[in-house]
This record gives sequence, C-alpha cells and structure tokens, in this order.
Amino acid sequence: MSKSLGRRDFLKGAAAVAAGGAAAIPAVAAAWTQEAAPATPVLGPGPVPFTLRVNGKDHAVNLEPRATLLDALRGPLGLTGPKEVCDRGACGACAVLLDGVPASSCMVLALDAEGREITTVEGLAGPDGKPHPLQEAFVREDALQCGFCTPGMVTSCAGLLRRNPDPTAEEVRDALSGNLCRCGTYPRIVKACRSAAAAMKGGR
Amino acid sequence: MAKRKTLAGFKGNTREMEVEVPDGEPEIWGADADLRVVGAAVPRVDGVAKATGRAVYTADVRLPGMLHGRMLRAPAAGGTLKALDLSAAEIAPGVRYAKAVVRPGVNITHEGRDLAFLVADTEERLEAALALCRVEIEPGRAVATLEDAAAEGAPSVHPDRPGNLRGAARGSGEKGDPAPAFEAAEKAMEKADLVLERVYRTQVQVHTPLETHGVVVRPEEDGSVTVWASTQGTFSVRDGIAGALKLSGNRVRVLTEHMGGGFGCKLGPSAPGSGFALEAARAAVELKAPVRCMLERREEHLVGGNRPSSEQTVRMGLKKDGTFLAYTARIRGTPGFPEGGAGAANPMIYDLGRTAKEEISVCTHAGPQTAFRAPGHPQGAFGLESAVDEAAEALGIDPLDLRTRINRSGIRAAQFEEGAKRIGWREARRVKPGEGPGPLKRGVGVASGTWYHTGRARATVEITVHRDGGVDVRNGAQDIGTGTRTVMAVVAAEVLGLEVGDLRIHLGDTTWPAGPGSGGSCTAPTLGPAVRMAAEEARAAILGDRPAKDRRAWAAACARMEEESRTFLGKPAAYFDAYEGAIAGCQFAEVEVDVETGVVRVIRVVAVQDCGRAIDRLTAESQVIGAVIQGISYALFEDRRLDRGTARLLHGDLEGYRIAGPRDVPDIEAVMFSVANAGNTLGMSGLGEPPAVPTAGAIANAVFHATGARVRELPITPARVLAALAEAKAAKKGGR
Ligand code: FES
Ligand code: FES
Repeated sequence: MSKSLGRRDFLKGAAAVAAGGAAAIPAVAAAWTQEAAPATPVLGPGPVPFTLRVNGKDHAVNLEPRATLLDALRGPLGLTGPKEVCDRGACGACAVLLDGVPASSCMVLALDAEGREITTVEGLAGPDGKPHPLQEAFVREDALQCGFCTPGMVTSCAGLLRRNPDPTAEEVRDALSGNLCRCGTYPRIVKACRSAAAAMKGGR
Repeated sequence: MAKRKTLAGFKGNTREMEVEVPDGEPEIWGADADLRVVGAAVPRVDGVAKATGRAVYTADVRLPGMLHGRMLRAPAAGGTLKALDLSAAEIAPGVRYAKAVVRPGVNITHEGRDLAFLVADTEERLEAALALCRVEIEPGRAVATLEDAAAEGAPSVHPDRPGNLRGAARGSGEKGDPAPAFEAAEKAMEKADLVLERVYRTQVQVHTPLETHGVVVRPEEDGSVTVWASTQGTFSVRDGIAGALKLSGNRVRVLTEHMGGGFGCKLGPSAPGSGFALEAARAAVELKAPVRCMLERREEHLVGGNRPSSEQTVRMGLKKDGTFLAYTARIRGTPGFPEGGAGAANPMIYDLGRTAKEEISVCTHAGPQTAFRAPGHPQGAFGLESAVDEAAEALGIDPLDLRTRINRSGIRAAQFEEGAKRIGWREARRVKPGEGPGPLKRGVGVASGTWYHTGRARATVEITVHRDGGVDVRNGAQDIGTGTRTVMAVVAAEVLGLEVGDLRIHLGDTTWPAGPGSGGSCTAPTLGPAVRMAAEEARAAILGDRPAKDRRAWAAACARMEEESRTFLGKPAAYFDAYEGAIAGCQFAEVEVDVETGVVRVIRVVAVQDCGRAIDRLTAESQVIGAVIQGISYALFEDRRLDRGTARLLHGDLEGYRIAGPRDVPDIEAVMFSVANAGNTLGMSGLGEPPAVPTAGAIANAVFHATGARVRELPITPARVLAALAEAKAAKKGGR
C-alpha cells in the first residue's frame, strides 16, 4: 500500500486530518498510518539518499521525501522528456513506465519509486539510439505538433502495446484517456500507435 | 514592378491572371507548376527530436546556479491594495530578491494582478516565501459577468473612468456612429416576410497551451542577456526585455528552439496580464544569476489571456425565397479588465442585404482577453451560422441551399458541394430535425468561415551555402508547432534540387535575421516566399544555367566555389493581388445526441479548407485537424468561470477547466482544397487560423438537426441540451 500511495492520496489524507481530526481519517490514510508508521523510520523533512533505477541504470539521488518522481527525473537526473503540465495527474504529460505500466510521475513520490524499474521516453529508443517503432510512427503520421504532450503520449502508447500488442482504435483512445493534447493530435496518435503495433508484429 | 502572367484558381476553375510583381521576385508557382517536393507528405523535420524527448523547451532549460522566480499575485478581485509587506519573505531561507511592482492604493482590476516579484534558490523555498508575503486589500465589489458589469450602478472596473461599457460601435463596416446603418436596416426589414430576432452567447475560453508562458534569463559577463522564452514572438520578447533593461536589442538574445503551444496568447514580451518576464530579467541582472520563471497552471488561467465572451443579438429580415433584406448584430462581450477587444465577426461572408453592427466591450474584474486563434471569428461564426440556420428552418429551406444562395465566394460554393458529398448531406437531411428514432439521435450541420491573406510581415531569410554542399537556412522567428521549419526545408529543397534532410533549418534565435511574430497565420506565408527568394539566388549563383537536378549535381557545383561559403538573402515583397480576396472554408459535422441525458458526441467532421498551396501536406492537414479539435472543445466543454460574487477563478487546473481528450474526438476528414491564389511566389496561405472558425457553428447546427432543439449558448452542455429540448417541446405543445 505505502509503495503505491500517490501524492494526491497523501494530500487528501492530510487534509482530512486537518479538517476533522483523527476520527475523520479515511480508510486510505488510516491504512497508510498503520502500515507505514511503525515499520519505517521517519524520513525527512530534509533530503534523503536513495536510489532510482531509470532506463536500466541506477542513479543515487538525495531528495526531500516530498519530491515527486517527476521532480527527480527533470531535476537531478536531467531527463526532461517527461513534461510538467498540470502537476496534478490530469494530463499525462509526465507519463513514465513503472515496471512497464504507465503512471503519471507527478503523482508518485520519488521515494516510492525506489526499487522499481522506471522507463522514460528517453529510454524507449534502442541501445543503438534507433528510435522506438512508436517514435518512428509518430513522426511518419505527424502525430505531433508543438510536441509538448508527445513524450507522455508515446510513453502511454508504449505501455499499451506491452499489454496489448494489437489494439483497436477504441482501445488506443481508452488507453490515452488520461493524456491531453492542446494542439489536437489525437486522431493521428491513434493511427501512429496502430501503425507501430503492425510494424512491431512484423518483427521490426 | 512588372506584370506577370500566372494560372490562378482551383480545380476546374482556373484562369490566367495578370499580377503586378515587384522586380527581383521569382516567378509565381501557378496552378500548373510542376513541383517535386512541394505538396508531398513530408514528415516534420523536428519530429524525431520531439518524439524521443530530446527536444528542449524553455521549461526544460536548467542552468548552473539557476534561481527560481515567481510573481506574487493579488488574491482577490476588486478593491484597492492597502498594504504590501514583503519583510518576512525577504529574510526567509533561500530568498534572494523580493520587490514590489505596484504601490499601495493601486486598483485590483483582477485576481492575479502582479504585486511583487520574488526569487529564491529552490522552487520549494520560493513557494514558502510567497506564503509569507502580507497582502492587505481594501475590499471592493467585483463584477464577474457581463450582466452584472453592464447593470445600472455596477462598480466600475476602472473607477477613474465611470461605467464598464466601452464602445467600438460601427455600422456596415464604416467607423463611427452605427445608428444610421441600424435605421436603414430596420427600414429595409419592413418589406420582409419574416423577421427573426435571436440572442447567441459564447463563453470565455482559455488558450491552455501545455507549456505555460515562461522565460529563463541569463545575464552574461559582457552586460548582455540571453533569454530562453516560450513565445510566439522572439523579437517581441527581445524588444520588451531590451526596453526594460535599457539595452539595445542586439544585447538581448532570445532563443526559442521549441515551444509548447501558444494559439495567440504568447505574442507579447511577457503574458497578456503580467509583466513577469521583464521582472525576471531585472532580477537576473541585479542578482547576476540566471532566473527561471514559468507560469503555474493557475496563473496561466488568470493572466495568460483568453478569448472574450460574446452576446450577439441578431435581427434579420428575409423574403420567403430566402433573400436577406437586412441583418443587424449588436454585440457585447467581456474582455476582462482591458477596455476593448471583445468583438465578434458577425456578420461576415454572406450576402445579407443591409447590415449594421455595434460592438461593445463590457469590462469585468477578470484577466485580459487577447488574440486567440482567429480572434473574434469562432464566436462570430457560431452566431451568424446559427442565425442563418434558424432562418432556413423558419422558411422551410434546406440550410445548405440557403447558404448557397447567399454565398459570395466561388471557392466556397465548390467547397459546399465537396463537403456535402462527403458527409452525405442530402441523405442525412431527409430526416426532419428531431425526428430520428430512439433516444440516440443523429444530425448533420454545416457552417463556414473566412480568414485573410496574411504574410504581410516583412522578413529576411539567410541561406548559407558551404563548399562541401551543406546548406543552412536561417531566420530568427519561431516554429510554434505548426511546421514552419518543415515548410522552409521543403521550399529550399525544391529550389536547390535537394532532399529535405539535406538542409539545416535554424529558427528561434534573434541574432539571426528578423522574422515575424506568429500571429494572423502569417509565419509560414511570410517565411516561405523569403526562403524561395534566397534559394533562387543561391541556385542561380551556384548552379548557373545547370538544372537543379539532385544532391550530386549540387555538391559538384558547390565544390567549385572559390569561397569557403557564400550567403544569400531573401526579402520578398508583401502580398500581391490574390485570386480571391479571402480564404474560404466550410465544415460539416455529424453528431449524436442522447436526448435522455443531453450528452452530445461528435461522430464525424469534414473540414473543407482553402489551403492555398499546401507546401507540406502532412503538417498542413495537422493544422486543420488540430483546429477542428479545438473547435469541438470550444463547442462542447470549455468554460472559464468566475465566482459571481467575488470574481475569483473557480478552477485553475485541467480538471475543472475541461479540454477535449482522446475520447471526445472523432475521425476528422481534412480536405485540403488547393487554390492557386497568386498571392505570393509560392501561392501559399496561412493555415493556423482559418480552420478554427466554423466548427462550433457546424456542431450547434447538427445538434439542432438531431434533436429539433436549438442551443444558443456555448458550450453545448448536457444541461443546455435538456433545457432546449424542454423548450422545444413546450413550443410545440403551445403551437398545437
Ligand atoms: S503533469 Fe503529471 S499528469 Fe499532468
Ligand atoms: S502536440 Fe502540442 S500539446 Fe500535443
């Protein structure tokens, strides 16, 4: 539970405590306090050293416990592919893969990502630097304009293709329902994702 | 000046035209031009950088020793500032700079008004310091809505100038008093068989670029500054910051390699409602350290600009056969605190008999309106196209037939035909409004729009050819995601006989030749002809009479150059006389409405767009698709709302302020309607704005066809659909 507790839940719990006292603590926060409080030493508020495994490499970081995974990636790790747009889990621009599953990195505390395999858009390309078939398809289909949402879109599509190598258009739209694009690239992203799926099946 | 002959027009409708062209311009690519790369589907040249996350945006710039700045903003709207105490913030840990930008006594025109600029060494400490600032406001009444602001006795947003109404009234296109034009129109209406009066309303829309406004300013050793800016106008940022720092423009270098969307709100040096970039520059110079300031999402909603609301009171008088005798529009809108700018492009395009128009801006205690993708047009087209539809319905004429009758553009006439075929208009319209079976009702609607031939902004493009055959193309303006870089590469490749990948295009650096701000859809049609001109010079100088065949021919010729490199400039004239005065477009929408819940789903949009000559088909289509999606979002979801009592923003995020997501958007058919317009040597048009105009009108009309209920206010929410359905039902009963 504590591992997957996002910042929003944490904030919600905290707000409830402030507003209503202990009796009003919702189930999520209660579980968190019970489970986390006795078992783990108190961390913070100052920086805490820990390790993040990103794109196949271990990185030692020293961050305040309140830092989000997005902060960690864009700050000390210098991976600015994932973008900060809403910082509240509403847009998907910050999407990364956590153990292969798409997650909004602005909603994950960096500490909670310790021990997990984190993949950013920069880590999708092959070891030789050749772009991922999805990235090639985005360019081929012009599934991007200003490009600010694109890293999140590509990453969310990559997560989808891992669990569903042959998605329908509807399934792509569903998988991307947490991603926003202001330039209006959605139809071409759906095409690009399916075109990449076909290319990958073809052994590319 | 010389007269040149060129074949202008569109498929099946071309004619030879004589155009006055200044000397030194290359020949015009007419309808019969035989081109190799131009018009093909070329993937954008910066696509890989963007898709792999390598592209660096202003928000991504991290510099050693970089500090973080943010504006302290007024937490209320209305009233005056009584006291501003920054002393606790000044001594807070990590704070390096805290300076008031207003004095006590200042009128709080809107929530979010700039009060003070703070800089700290981390964002967390900056946030903590902002919370320590003490702001005391002498409260005053605030007005949030048009009705409240226009009411008798309403508090004035600018107390030194009474009232909130600011008129830019005009009649029939002439400036000045609109009363005579209204009188004449009313007189003409006396002979009408049908007079209709309707009121249409549109909401305030926020641009919501995914990358917010922002800068990183680095002071340099030599007293100059380097600025990374998320902007649509590198040179306007340069001039603004140079002015603030009292430097000459060439001591301010503005860089915008990539930027995450603007849509009109990023044309100025800072943001429409904030001077944050100038303050960041002042702080950076004083602190001798780089300062980063990107607006927060909530600030973007407060001071980042918006499309003003509108209330369009339309009166029209028609003959039974659909001839318009007169059409008048009284338009009021809320620009926020600025004293003007809330007009709507209604009437427009059609032959409506005698017309009269009045535009009044009604100030509210809110952040400012600013240019937004075809300013005035989407709201105007919603009003006008709804009105024309209502007239058609009342007269029992097919809405497309009525439009054809009052249409004045040959291009649009052909577009109506094309679009009607593709959407299956005749078939679909056999079903009378609201008479389809079941609770899920389908309908189709049409609307059109216009835009202007732009490209008048002057620009110089510099092409440098190296002895090894390498070619650099440079201009200081920016590519805001529209594909300008790619358009430039395609044009240069065409002229020099190269492939697109052979060229290096450099944009977004004010140390390169001056270019336009990206407003009015002018960037590509300004820079494209300039590239052409420079490239033609280069070709003539290097290839001479030999044909621009391929890479090998080019490299061989370059190897014979005496110099290490040669540079060529292209600075073409403004637009020539174009084939037809304006850009035409029309859109057909098919919707499905659940009459039990009121939910509207867009099933299909066919957008037939005059694209001049599409230089790169892929990015051109993307412009159209993207504009339609923003139009769907405007029609169905977006609504910037303020609390009515306090004029405070109700939502400064992407949840409360909803924009269209992947599941709200159908497949969109972008029909690129090529018109050889002879407007410039490429025959190209701007394409950012024109397709953003018709969408909401087409959707509203389709909703009527589906349900028989007319929603006269945007966004078309389920509640409004249900209310309109109830109204239609009551009217039917009453009529029986
Ligand atoms: S930035 Fe994380 S979801 Fe928007
Ligand atoms: S491409 Fe601009 S936000 Fe998606």
